Amino acid sequence: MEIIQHYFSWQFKLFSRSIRHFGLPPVVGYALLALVVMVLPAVLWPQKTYFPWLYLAAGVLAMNPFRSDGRNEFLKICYSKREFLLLRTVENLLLVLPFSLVLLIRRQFLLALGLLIIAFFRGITANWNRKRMNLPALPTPFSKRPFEFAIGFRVSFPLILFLYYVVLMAVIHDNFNLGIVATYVVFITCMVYYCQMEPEYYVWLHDAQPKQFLFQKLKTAAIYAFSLVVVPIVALSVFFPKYIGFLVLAVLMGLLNLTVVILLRYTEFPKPFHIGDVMLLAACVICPIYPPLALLPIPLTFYLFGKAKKNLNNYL
Amino acid sequence: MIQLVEISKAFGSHVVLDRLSFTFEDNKVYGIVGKNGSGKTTLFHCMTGLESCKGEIVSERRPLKNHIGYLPTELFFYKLMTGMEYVQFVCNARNQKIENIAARNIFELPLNDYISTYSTGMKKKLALFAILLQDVPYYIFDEPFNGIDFQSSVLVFDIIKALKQRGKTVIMSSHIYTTLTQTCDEICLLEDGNFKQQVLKADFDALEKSMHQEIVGNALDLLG
Repeated sequence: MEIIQHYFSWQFKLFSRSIRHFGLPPVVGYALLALVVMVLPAVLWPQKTYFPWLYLAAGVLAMNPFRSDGRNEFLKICYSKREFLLLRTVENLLLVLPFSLVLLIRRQFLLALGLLIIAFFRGITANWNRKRMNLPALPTPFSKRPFEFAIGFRVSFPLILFLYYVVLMAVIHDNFNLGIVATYVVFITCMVYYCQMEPEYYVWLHDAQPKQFLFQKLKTAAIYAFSLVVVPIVALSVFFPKYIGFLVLAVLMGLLNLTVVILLRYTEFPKPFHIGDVMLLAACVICPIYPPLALLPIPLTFYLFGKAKKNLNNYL
Repeated sequence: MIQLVEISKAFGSHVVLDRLSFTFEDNKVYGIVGKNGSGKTTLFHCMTGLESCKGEIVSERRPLKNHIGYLPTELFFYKLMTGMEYVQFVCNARNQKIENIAARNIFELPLNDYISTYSTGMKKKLALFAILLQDVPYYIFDEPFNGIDFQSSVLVFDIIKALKQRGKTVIMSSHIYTTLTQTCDEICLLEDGNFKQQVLKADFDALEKSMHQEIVGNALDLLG
C-alpha cells in the first residue's frame, strides 16, 4: 500500500507540473479535465448508437500516454516485476474509472465493465515486450521529404483509412455533409503531425534562411496533405458536383489551418505549445462553422509568419 | 580556420567557459579532453551556434554553422522514423542531393528499419553516417566512440584519418584518451573554462601522465 501511495503522489506531482507548464494552474487543469471527460459527456450524451463506443475508445486512448516503452522501462528499473504490474494495473483502472462511471450513469453497463477489463488486461500485460523488433517499417509515400508526414502517417494511417471509409459511406448514402467533414478531419489529422516540437538540432541542421526554411515546410505540408485528400475530394466532386464550391472552400480552410499550426510551431520553437496556442488552433479548426470567424486564419498567417521568421533567426 | 576570441558562457552564476581563445587551423585533427562538466559540449554548442555566447567566433566561411558537420553526444530520433529517412532528412536539410544512399552504407546499418529497433551504437553510427555524407570543411564530433563496437571504432579511426587527408578539419572530444592519441595532431585540456594545456603529438604521453597524477595522485594509497 505504501508503494502505491508513494507512486501516485509522485505521479500527481509530475502531472500537476505538466499542467503548470501548459500554462494553467493545476486546480483549473484538473477541473477542465473533469469537465471534458465526465461532466460534458454525461450531460450532453448524444443519442447516437455509435457514441458509447466512441466514448469507450476515448477511455482506452486515455491509457496510451502512460504505456510508452521509455516510461515502462524506467519503472521496471525502479520496482520489482510484481510491484510494476500492480502499479500499472491500478494506474490503468484509475485512468478509465471516470469513463466507466459515465458509461454506468448512461446505463451502458457492458461497455463500462468492458473498459475496466481492458484496463486490467493492459495492466497485467504491461511487462510484455512491445518493441517492434520483427515488424517491418510501414512504407509511406512521404519518405522523400521526411519527417512529419512520414512519421505522422505511420501513427494515423488506420484513422486515414477509416476517414476514407466514411467518405465512401457518405457517397453511398448520399450524405455530402458527412463526406466533407471526414475530408476536413484528414486535414486536422495532418495538423496534429506538426504539434510535437522538434529538437533544436533538427532545425539547426538546415542550410537555409528562415524564410526559405518556412516556405519549404509549408510547401511540403501542402503537397503531402493535398495528396492525402485528393481521393475523397475527387470522389465527392464526382458524386456531388453541385457542392464543388464547398469542397474547394474546405480544402482552402484545411490548408490555411495547416499553415497556421506550422507557423505557430516555429513561433514557439523550441518550447512546446501551451494552452493559448491550443485554444488558437481550436478556434481556427472550428471557425468554418461560424462564418464571421472563417477568415481568422488569414491575418493570423501573416502575423505568425513574421514572428516565426524572427524566432528562427536564432537557429538558422 | 576557426578562431575563438574570448569565448565566455555562463548558465546563471555557473561559468562554464571563461574568455577562451584558440585557433583551430585547417587540415588538422584536434582532441578536447576534460572532466565531466568541464564545458566540452558547451564549447561545441557555442562554436556551432546552438548556444549563444560572449566573445567572437571568426571564420572565413559564413555562416559557419552551414560548414560544420556536428555529431552531438546526445542524439534524438523519432521512433517511427527509418534510418534511411533520417539520412534523407539530414541530406535534404543540407541541400545535398546524394544518389544511392544505400550503396554508401559503410556501417552496414539496416536503413529500412525503424530507428527504435537500433541499439545505442547503431544510432550513433547512423548519426555519424548522415554527417559524413555532407561534404563540409569542418567536423565536430562529441564523444564519437561512445557506445560503438570495436570494429566500428577501427572504421571511425580510418574515417578521421581520411577526412584529414581530404583537407578537412576535425575537432572531437573523448573520454578515452587513446582514441585521441591515435588520431589527433593536437590535444587541448579544457579545465576551469579555458584550455589549460595544448600539446602536440610529441607531448601526448606527458599530458596523460600529468592528468593521471592530478586525478589519481595518492588516492589509491588512502585505500591502504
